[in-house]
Amino acid sequence: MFYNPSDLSILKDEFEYIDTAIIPLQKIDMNGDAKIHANNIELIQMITMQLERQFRGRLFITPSISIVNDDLTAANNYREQLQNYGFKNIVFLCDKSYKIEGEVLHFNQIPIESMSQDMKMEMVNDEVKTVMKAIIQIWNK
Amino acid sequence: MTQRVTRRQFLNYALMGTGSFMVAGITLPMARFAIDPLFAAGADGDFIQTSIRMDEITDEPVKVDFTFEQKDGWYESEVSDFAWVYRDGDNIIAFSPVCKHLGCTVTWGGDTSNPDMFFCPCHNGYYTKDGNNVPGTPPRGPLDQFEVADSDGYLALGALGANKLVG
Repeated sequence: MFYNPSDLSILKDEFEYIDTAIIPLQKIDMNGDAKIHANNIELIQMITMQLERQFRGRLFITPSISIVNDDLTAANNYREQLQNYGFKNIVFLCDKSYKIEGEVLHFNQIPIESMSQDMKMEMVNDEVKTVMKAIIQIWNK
Repeated sequence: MTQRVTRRQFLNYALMGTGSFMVAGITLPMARFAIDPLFAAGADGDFIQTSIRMDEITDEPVKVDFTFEQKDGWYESEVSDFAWVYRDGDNIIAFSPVCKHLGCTVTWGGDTSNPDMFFCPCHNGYYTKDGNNVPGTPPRGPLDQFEVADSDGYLALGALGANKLVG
């Protein structure tokens, strides 16, 4: 489920089934790494779209939280809010450069901007498979 | 004795000949324009052709990918999706992979202990091969079914509707 009006009402009615929240994190610093960040933002969007399609009925994928100056306060506050809402598993989805507490799913930084469409899909699907396996592992714990 | 053609007859024939050519030249294209759309709609409808040959389909369900244009607000994009397709006697069966519980993607034989069932990994939902949901598991109805057609030997998928194998 995504954070949109129709999905949110399903979330409310079916909350017993939707027990896992995914919080994507994206850096938006306007520094020398801006291009890398922008690439990761596109990548994270593609990954979350695929995750939604595969696991729509059990995942609640929140809007991405934008991180400036590596300040993770907003992310941690949001995590706490979701915990109070009643989610059993709350998982951050981000690349490997974040130092954040709690359950985290990492994806590899793939430079997708220079790839052809087919190549891009293949690489992203590989990445999604890894993330999916990690999610199933969390469920089976 | 040869029959003489009078000047009047000759002019009549000549006029009628050119006249009918002109009439045909005008009406035939108009008729084509009028009739063509009927044929175009009848031949393909809303069927999407896939790259799977009809005779390649076995009784083991396989993933068949297809792409179509989707308009989302102002944004048009090419969406790829897939169906579970297998052969049942003379019929080709194509199911939507979307679980009827909360919309996850189901897989054929995804659960190794039940290799001949569709499995939804989100909440352990099961469907039998005819798409019927197994009672006692979360799904609330049988899998939706695509209309299928033969497009020059290749499988074409049409509208998605209710499951026709399960009464």
